[in-house]
Amino acid sequence: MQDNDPLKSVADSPVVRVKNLRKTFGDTVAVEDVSFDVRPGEVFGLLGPNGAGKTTTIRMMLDIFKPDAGAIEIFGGPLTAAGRDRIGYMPEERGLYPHMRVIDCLAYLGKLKGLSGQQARRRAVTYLQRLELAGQEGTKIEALSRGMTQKVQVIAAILHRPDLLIIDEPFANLDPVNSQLVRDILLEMRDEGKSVIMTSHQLALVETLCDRIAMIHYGRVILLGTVAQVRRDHAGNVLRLHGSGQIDAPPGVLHVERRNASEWLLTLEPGTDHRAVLQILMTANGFSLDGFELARPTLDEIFVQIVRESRQ
Amino acid sequence: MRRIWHVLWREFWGHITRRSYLIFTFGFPAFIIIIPMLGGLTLALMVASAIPPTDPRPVGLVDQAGLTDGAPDAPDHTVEIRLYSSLETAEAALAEGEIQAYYHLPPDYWQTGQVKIIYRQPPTGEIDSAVGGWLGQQVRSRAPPDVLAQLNREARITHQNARGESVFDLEDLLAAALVFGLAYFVQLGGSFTANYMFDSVASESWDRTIEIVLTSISPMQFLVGKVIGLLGVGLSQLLAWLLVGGTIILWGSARLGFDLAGIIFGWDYFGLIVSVLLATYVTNQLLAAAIGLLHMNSGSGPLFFNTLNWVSGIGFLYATILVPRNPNTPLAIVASMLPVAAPIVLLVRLVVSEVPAWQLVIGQVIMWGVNIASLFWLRHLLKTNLVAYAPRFKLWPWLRRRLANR
Repeated sequence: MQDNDPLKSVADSPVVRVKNLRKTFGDTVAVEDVSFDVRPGEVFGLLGPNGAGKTTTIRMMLDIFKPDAGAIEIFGGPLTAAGRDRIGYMPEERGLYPHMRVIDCLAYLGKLKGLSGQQARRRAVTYLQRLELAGQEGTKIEALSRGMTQKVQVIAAILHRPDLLIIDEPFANLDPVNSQLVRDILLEMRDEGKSVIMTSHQLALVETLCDRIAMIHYGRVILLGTVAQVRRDHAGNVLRLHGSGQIDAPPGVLHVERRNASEWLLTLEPGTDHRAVLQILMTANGFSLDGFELARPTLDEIFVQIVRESRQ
Repeated sequence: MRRIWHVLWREFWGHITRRSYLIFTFGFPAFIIIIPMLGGLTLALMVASAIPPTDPRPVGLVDQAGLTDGAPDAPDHTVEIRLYSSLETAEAALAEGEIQAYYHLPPDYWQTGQVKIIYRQPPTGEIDSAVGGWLGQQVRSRAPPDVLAQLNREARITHQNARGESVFDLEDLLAAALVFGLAYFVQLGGSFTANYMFDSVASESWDRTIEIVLTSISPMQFLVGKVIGLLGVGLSQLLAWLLVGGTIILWGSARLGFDLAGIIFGWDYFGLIVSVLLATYVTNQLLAAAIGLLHMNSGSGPLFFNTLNWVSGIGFLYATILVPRNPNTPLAIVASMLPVAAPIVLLVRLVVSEVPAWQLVIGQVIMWGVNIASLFWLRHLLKTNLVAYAPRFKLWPWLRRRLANR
């Protein structure tokens, strides 16, 4: 019955819906087949190694590139001029006008998003204070440090209070204190029911911040779901062993990693029964097994595993 | 519209308040004016110190030609001229020191025009000029009114070929020469100001700002705002130079008795040529923007642009040497309709022949049409060169793929 509630269906309808996206540049296939959706009030992580197709996907979402095939819906339809004003964007390659003063640059970018000059300046000052940049209003962008520039860039993306924030590597160049400041802003947006799409290689942060993730590799989505679900799905593949001696990779084991003197992580091939591996190890010469557990891998480990598998 | 205005204003205001712009805009004419003025002043001081002071005493005049019959002693603001009835009385006055020199108009003055001056110390050139001017006035006062009127009026020579087609007169030629100077100036100024366009467009790529801006406004809005803003920067610079240079030239010509402003603005084709110049100026700026978009930054971009200007100099030679002889060849007609060649070729054709109205209209449509089409081309370049990191378009691999797919 609840699913028939029109108000609920509007509220839950995806902010972004990407379906079977494909984009090539000459002979290079940048995006092969990418599909996902982003819901209101969630932080969505778009992950993948360099060159996987994340940025191209984002640019297609923002109508900077036209896809060769597939469909994109933003706020329930094709991206319109009004829709653009509801999006905040911080690209991976930071872009601010180096000869402009911080306040002028922010006001200009705010005005392009439809704010009045006064409104843009007022909000800029508030955010500068919040991100511990008070007093830098009159400083030229080129005179700021890298971390400061990045925080100004974050402000430029959120100044007009967008309903959808697309933010590429938001924590690069930031120390832990500043990372926390930016993280708080992202979480605040989520609490206000706004959506955030972020890419990052700092997967520990992604784990704590993102509700759902999609991992793109070679232009395809190879993982999609909540962080917990993804970790759970990969739990059976990693065996954590405690013991002593030497391990030679038994059949069905993809990768052996010695974490310390008494701990090993064994990444199993898909379909391998961990009991069979344990049996081999228990009977093997040169290794004494004290204990084991099926480890729930971190996103970092899953990422590395998937990339390694694809290379092999 | 408001967003186009924001882009336009940022470009315009951001540039015209820069120190480099202010120095170049106002320093350049100041340099052009002050340096010759300083040189002239130095020269004048040197000359003044080398020339002896003018003798304040009157000069005498012995008129045996009857030029000054009945004319009273003629006081002159430079020197007083005293008439003497004979050479002896004038010689006596010179010996007494009453006069510094005396002029002798012999009886055959009307045939030879010869005048002699007798002195102890040579008078300055200023005295000769004053006396010569006074004598000229005396000659003109004797001429009949109709002759005098014709003398004061300049001859107007109208040219017409054997077929009776090419018609122009000296006033047209003068106006065209002046507008030609203006065209050259605008062309030169355009190549200076094109640098703003290169750097501004290319810096959107270097600074990676374009990707953010394009999530707020469309590429066409962005380009229109940017191009108009930067055109404003260039034109404001040209205007500043024109105001300074024009004021000096018009003031100088008025002092010499020429109505240059009247000749230029009164020319029938002035409005048309302004439109042609403006269209070409815009084309140049759009070309500069395209070079910026193609990542030919401030090093190779201006070099490429200036090379193009040099190549267009061939058109200048063609227009000034060949077009006057055959102004209505197909090449001349086409060249007078194209943005880069038109300011010179059309100008020459307007002076030496009758250009049909349909050619003028088509020319205007082509020139402004090229500019509008260039904006769409720039939009394409913007999306493929500033934002994309895609492999650059290469004709041969593209053709090979197309052929392989067949």
